[in-house]
Amino acid sequence: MMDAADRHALFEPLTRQIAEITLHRRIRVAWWLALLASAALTALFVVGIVWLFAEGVGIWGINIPVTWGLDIVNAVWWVGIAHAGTLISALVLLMRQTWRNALNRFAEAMTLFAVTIALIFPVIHLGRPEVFYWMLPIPNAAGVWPQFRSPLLWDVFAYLSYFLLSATFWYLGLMPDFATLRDRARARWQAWIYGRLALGWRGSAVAWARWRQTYLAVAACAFIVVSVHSAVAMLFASSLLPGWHSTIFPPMFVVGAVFSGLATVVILAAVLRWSFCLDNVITDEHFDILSRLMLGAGLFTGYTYGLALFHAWFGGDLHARHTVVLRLAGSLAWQTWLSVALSLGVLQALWWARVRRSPAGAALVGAAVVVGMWLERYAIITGGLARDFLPSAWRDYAPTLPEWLLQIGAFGLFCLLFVLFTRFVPLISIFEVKAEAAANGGERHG
Amino acid sequence: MAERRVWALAAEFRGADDLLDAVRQIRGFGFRDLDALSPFPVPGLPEAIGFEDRTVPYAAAAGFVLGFLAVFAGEVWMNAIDYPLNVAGTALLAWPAFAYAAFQVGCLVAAAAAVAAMLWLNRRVNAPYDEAFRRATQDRFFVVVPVADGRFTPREIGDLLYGIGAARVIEV
Amino acid sequence: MPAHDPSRRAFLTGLAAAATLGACGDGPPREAVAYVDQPENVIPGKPLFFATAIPLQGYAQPVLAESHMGRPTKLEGNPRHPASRGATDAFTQAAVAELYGPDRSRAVLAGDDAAAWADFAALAAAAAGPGLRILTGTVTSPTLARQLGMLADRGVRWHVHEPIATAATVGPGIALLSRLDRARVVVSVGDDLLGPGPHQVWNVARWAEARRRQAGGLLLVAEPTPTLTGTAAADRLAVPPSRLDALVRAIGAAFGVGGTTAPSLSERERAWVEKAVRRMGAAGARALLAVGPAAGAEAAALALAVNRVTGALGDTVTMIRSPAVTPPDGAGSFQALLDAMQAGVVERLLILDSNPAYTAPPAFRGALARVPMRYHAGPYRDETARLCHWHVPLAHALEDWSDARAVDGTVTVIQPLIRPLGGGVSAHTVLSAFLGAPAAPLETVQATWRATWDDGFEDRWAEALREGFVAGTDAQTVAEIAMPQPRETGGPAGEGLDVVFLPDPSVWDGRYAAVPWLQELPKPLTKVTWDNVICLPAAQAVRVGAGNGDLVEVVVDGRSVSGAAWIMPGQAADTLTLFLGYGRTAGAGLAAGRGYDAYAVRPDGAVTARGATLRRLGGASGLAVTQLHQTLAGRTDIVRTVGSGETAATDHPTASLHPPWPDLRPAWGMVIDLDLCTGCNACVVACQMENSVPYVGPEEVARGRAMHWLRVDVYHEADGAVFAPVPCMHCEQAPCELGCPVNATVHGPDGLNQMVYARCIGTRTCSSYCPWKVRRFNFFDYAGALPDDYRPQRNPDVTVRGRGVMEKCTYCVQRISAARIDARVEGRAVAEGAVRTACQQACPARAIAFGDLGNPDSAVSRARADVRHYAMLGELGTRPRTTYLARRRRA
Repeated sequence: MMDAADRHALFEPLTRQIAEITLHRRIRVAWWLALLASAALTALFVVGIVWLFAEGVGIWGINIPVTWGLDIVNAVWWVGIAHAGTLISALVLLMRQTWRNALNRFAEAMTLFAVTIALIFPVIHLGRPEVFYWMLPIPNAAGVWPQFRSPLLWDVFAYLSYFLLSATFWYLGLMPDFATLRDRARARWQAWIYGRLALGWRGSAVAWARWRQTYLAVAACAFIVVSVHSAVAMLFASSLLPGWHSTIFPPMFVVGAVFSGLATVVILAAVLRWSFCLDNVITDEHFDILSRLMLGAGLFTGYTYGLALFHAWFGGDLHARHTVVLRLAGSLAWQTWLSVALSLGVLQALWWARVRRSPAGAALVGAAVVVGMWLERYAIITGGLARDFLPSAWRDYAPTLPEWLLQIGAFGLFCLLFVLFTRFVPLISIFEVKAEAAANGGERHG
Repeated sequence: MAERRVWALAAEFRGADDLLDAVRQIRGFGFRDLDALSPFPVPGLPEAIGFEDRTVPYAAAAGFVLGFLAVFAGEVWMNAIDYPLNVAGTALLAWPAFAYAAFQVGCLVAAAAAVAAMLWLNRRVNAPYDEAFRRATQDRFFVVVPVADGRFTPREIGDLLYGIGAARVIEV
Repeated sequence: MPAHDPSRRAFLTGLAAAATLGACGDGPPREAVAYVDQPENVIPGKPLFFATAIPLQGYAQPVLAESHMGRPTKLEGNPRHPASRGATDAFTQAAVAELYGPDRSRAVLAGDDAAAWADFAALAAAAAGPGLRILTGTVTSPTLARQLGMLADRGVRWHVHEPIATAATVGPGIALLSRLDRARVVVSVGDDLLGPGPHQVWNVARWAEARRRQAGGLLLVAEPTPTLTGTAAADRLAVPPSRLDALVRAIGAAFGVGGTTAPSLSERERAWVEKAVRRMGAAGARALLAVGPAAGAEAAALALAVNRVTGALGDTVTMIRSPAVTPPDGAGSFQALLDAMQAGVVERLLILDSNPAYTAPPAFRGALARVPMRYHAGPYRDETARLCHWHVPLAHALEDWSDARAVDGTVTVIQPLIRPLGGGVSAHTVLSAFLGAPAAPLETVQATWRATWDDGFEDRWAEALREGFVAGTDAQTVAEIAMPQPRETGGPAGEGLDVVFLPDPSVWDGRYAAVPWLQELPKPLTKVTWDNVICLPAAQAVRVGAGNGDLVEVVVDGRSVSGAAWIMPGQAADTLTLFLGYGRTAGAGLAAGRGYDAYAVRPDGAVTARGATLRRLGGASGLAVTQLHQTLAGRTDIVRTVGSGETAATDHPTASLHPPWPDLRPAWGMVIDLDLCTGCNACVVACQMENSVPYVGPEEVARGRAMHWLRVDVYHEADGAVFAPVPCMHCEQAPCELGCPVNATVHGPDGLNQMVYARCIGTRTCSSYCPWKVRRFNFFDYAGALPDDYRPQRNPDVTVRGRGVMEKCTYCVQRISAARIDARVEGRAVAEGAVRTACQQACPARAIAFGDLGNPDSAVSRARADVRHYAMLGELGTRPRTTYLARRRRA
């Protein structure tokens, strides 16, 4: 147990360790490679969009009845991933759990970037993307307004407020760290930029007090994360379609989102820890906690799947029951089983502490979960449309190359944003880690 | 160089606990309007220095209510008054549906109001300090004691601060 | 725009109108006379209607052609015509698109070079003589017959080639005409009465009438391959074509007609025959035994004798003077020509509106090469045109004067709506050239009727053009002819498979191959587009290991053809069906090379063949099918069948959390009677023509992006197939409206689910939310991709949709709007029947009722009160305005 004197001796080394990642003049080759690779993938994204705008959505594999394909799968999946960042930064904060301090910066960054990408898909998937702004309540010559009873419009407000809120929250947490960097910067331009970004922060206790009030208030507002993904779920649940029209959808989607987001946080934590030698900051205990959360969220998600199927069966509706059979044993059943195997099956490895505490193990499980959850969205969205009420309308869907370009390109864009983030922004919350060290006796970071 | 008026004295300490003790002692001496500098928010410090301002939470609450009502009213006006249309046979005043966007924007406005209140109220709080205090964002803690006219001279305050264990005293 | 109601037709007055329309370039010629009443003024933007006819295989299909500013845009049936009673079939509806087709021939050609008409006319004038032969399709036109007669006087011999036999002939110049409205029981042995062809509208209208009155319409059908008639049957027996003759003889034996040796029948066949005989006996003269060409000539003669015995002859079926003019060599006309050609006797050959190089057996091509001078006159530069020295583009029926007879013999004077778009020339002009007496078709046709009518020509001519038919020209019944004696026939069934050759339901014998909307029209029982398939019974498919779309090869008489296989539910054992009309190589527009050419293996004009072999080839043909799943998969509540007096509706009135919206009148609603729908697709094409719905091509159809606003679903169940037309349901609480974020689809006060194209941003939420999936999306700019030639056909009252916009059935809102405007102008309410949707108007069975639900006496309201009434997926609680009458169980 360290005493007070020793605890505060950690502050400088900790600060140096994290701050140097951004302030260090010479940029590592590995970083350049990562940047180039993700930029190349992002270029694919741009190509996909240009191609789409030139020709029309007909280049995708969508049809009647499956009018939504990878476009909406990605819109849902990416915003779902974002939720875990908000969970860790905001909701866990409100629970006064300090372990989140080492994770929340890059988790919140993950949220911001994921929401950014999630915002792109609903705009480009439109048949007439040039008038996407008609979904916003802007006065126009025809005097027509948006239709606020539509779940799609709820999603517009949900995504936009989530994006702005996340950006606000993230910046709020960054202000003190920008000050830290400003005060350590060796190059004048670095000091100047970080200085402006810090908004003159000096660490005044009065300022801190108000800052903390604001931080908690915004964190409380972050409860909209539940309503955001509930609205996304309502996009499907508000329809009458047999696989979609279920009240379990909002909780199922929210929990599933947190599940997939936690998996992504675990992957990012493992990658960052390995890339920047942050073993003492992102410790095995963090992985243990994250893995437990992931396991819990996954089990809960599995429970909601079971409930959804049970409701459909128990209700006795002919069409709903047919859908259950199709999902479990029909031509599209492989989607169901593969996604369950990846997201829930592999998950069970987390019962073992060795897997939980190991970054590589947890990250592998996380990767399987992320892919499994993507497949789960794919199964629900495209499968629900491919087999609804009238057999005469049944038709399958298969993504085309332009859609895969966007899929891979979106991943590339995410990586690009993240790579840039690690270079220019402290990827761990320096002051919060110090605060945690001060509070917990520094055991974790010794 | 002209003599600058000393506005306050800042005492440097090594740890957060030391800082808290010092603050309490200084308040015990009767000093008010204290401030402190720290690299992170120290639990108990706002109470110790006598900070009681609750404007920010109130601003957040007010922001939520105002944002919610404004958006809700806007939706009602757009969809039920200005251009009412029969959409799926639903009620014109579809309040559950309208409430959703109102809630989302309400939360957003609450957060924005809190941030705006904070920035506004904090606008001059950090101003007195400069690069001399650069370690305040790294690993050092400071108590800032204003020199109120009359009671003590700066030197007396300085001695007092050294007396309670300050590593260093800087003039502000 | 006037409402589509027969009593309110706007029309043309002489010179004033001609001057107005002439300014548009391609207006109707001056002498055209419009239909019925005369308004004082012609109002630009308001269409005019002209009564005329579209020949289908020579038989007139009477229409009212709607013309906007000198351009025909839509064809409706002529309600006053006794043959059609205002209905049309799919081919006739598509004729207006055929008119504008970019693949139509537009130049006189000498070989490959453009030539002048004058040169051809000069050549023709010198050509008439004994060395000249003329080959045409079926001719019903009195004028053309007169011209051919005049040429015959000069020694020109005339022959007829028609690949599809449609009219049952019982003797030279005598045809059988069924009157299904008088029949309580119809026993069909291989006769597709309700199927596509010149008789479809005639038969379906009458059958539906009997069925509607519950006074008849009971069908017992024995056939080798499923047809629309078999689908409507109460009892359908699937037998190979070689068995059809035995069935007829068995029925004949029961009525004491025919040979003494009763044929041996299987258990099932015997049961069917007994049932048929029993029903026919009970119905007496109100029964009808109909036999198709697949059964053979002897069976046809036998059936005639049976009908005479039962008293049906003269009642439910009559013998009439055939509307089709008989060529000199009668039934052997084409063979006679072939022989003469091969013998080298033919010096010059004019092929007029026929494509024998494609539709005749391959021997024709060789014989054709032996004719030194060959002329072709036809609408396309097709396979035959490419083998001829001269090609003359033929005018469309909407482009020039002519006349024709309907299936009942009634004459319609065909009047043009537009000057020939591409320099097309009337068949009459061509024959006039050969007669050496050039004359405008108008003069030629008028000359015919001047001669026929003794006096009052002007009045009678005007009346013929106004009414759309010449009264009193229906064919005379022939009372007594020498009955052909049925002979003993029948031998043992041979080795190998039986083959049936059928005309394609979308392109007929191939003549409509260049009409893309017909190519994209899904065949009723397979829902295949842009292709033809080889139908197999399930057992054969299993034997060769072929699934739908796999390539198979059929060998008949040493000739082979390969095409996509299709497992047809209800196909007779060991029987294959080959569809004619595909595999074309010239003059077929976008369809060139698609499908297989069944003519290549077809024995001379035969309907059936025996001894065929089937084997699977490697590979598959990518079929463009609009409906991939064709069974109800246990969801029998979707398309319901009820017994007599049984209630179809099972749904309880659904409560709703939503407030009641005011009920305004008219409250539009539609009821579709599934008992009457034969699946003929006339409604689908009518909707496309009325609403400018684009075709998308086979690749897009294969991707599931067909644009049919109204589709006819088919479900093959254990006891037969059922059809269900599915337009937009116009739900009162429409899920699609709820999902749209921009108010692009909202609910109108009259009950319509409105689609606002200008506001749609293309999120496609509405389509995702629709339980019936009736919405269609412009994934690409389909309308913009169409050739400019089709733009004049577009309905000016309907918006053309661009890329990224959703569209769907609108209950023909443009027609509703027009009726509402007219009513308001005249200060009255919209009358019952004033608005007829395009689908409703086209349907030969009158299966669709549309009107004001707020009027308790309207046809829709009465239909809703019927015990058979139900809403498809009504339990969802969306309160659809489009509902159904369940099929009656066919006992």
